[in-house]
Amino acid sequence: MAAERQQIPATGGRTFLAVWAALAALLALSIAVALLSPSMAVVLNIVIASFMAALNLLFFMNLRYEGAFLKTILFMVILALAAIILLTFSDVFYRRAG
Amino acid sequence: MIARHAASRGPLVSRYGMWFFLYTELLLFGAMFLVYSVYRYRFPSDFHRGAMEENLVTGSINTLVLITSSMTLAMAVSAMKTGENRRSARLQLASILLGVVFLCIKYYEWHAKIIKGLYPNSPVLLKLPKGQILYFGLYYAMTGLHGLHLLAGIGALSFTLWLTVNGRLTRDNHAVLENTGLYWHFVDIVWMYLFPLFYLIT
Repeated sequence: MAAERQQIPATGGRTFLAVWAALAALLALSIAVALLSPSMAVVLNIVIASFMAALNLLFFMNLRYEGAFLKTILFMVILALAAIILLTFSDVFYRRAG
Repeated sequence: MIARHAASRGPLVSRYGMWFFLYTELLLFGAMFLVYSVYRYRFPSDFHRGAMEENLVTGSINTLVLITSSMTLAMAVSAMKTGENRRSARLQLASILLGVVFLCIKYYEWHAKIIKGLYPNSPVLLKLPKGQILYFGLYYAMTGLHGLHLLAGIGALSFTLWLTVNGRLTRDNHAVLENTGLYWHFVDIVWMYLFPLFYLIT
């Protein structure tokens, strides 16, 4: 298990600027996808949003410096959410609209 | 001995507290995204028509504003860690102002809908198909809850700015600023999903 840090170290301004540029580029990509390929837009844009969220989590929220404990709990929360969505849709897909 | 031990665990424990709170927030917004997904699946064309009312330009600008505010706040926390309190204060102020800009644009978007009579329980909305009523209900509920979170973030950040200006935060004691940052970035992440679901489905 990775060691847990008391204090998260400082990050240089250039790193944050690079992350901002990547986020802006991903935003532009998601708009382009929606305009150019509307049929695939939903799935692709959720994937792009997840990449944006990952950049935010790792660099702005410093998840990259956190120990395995916090990351494991985050994974479990996402897993629980995925299970809830999957179980709900397993019902929705096979239910006739009444 | 115990007190000293507890104090030394301070920043880590307080950060964990904020992360766990954010996990519960993730489930709160997750439930709303689930409701959205189910009704979107059931009424795809109504959701598509409802989304035609969204303004892609203001929505995109708002996303950029929020991303930028996250960057300035991450820089503010980092500046505090290196003892640059004045720089940190300026960056916190920039994040607050960007948050206010986001809310002003959101107000403009809501206002554009409200003057068309598109607000919950309005006579105009109630004449629309069921799917569109649900779309606008979810739009106001989800962007409204997000806006309230941002408003709370602005309040918390104003408090940390006050603490910074008064010299109450230092490079060794700034957990409150770090945790406010975590909260702000989470609110940014929620918007990263709200934006495609409401603005990019036409």
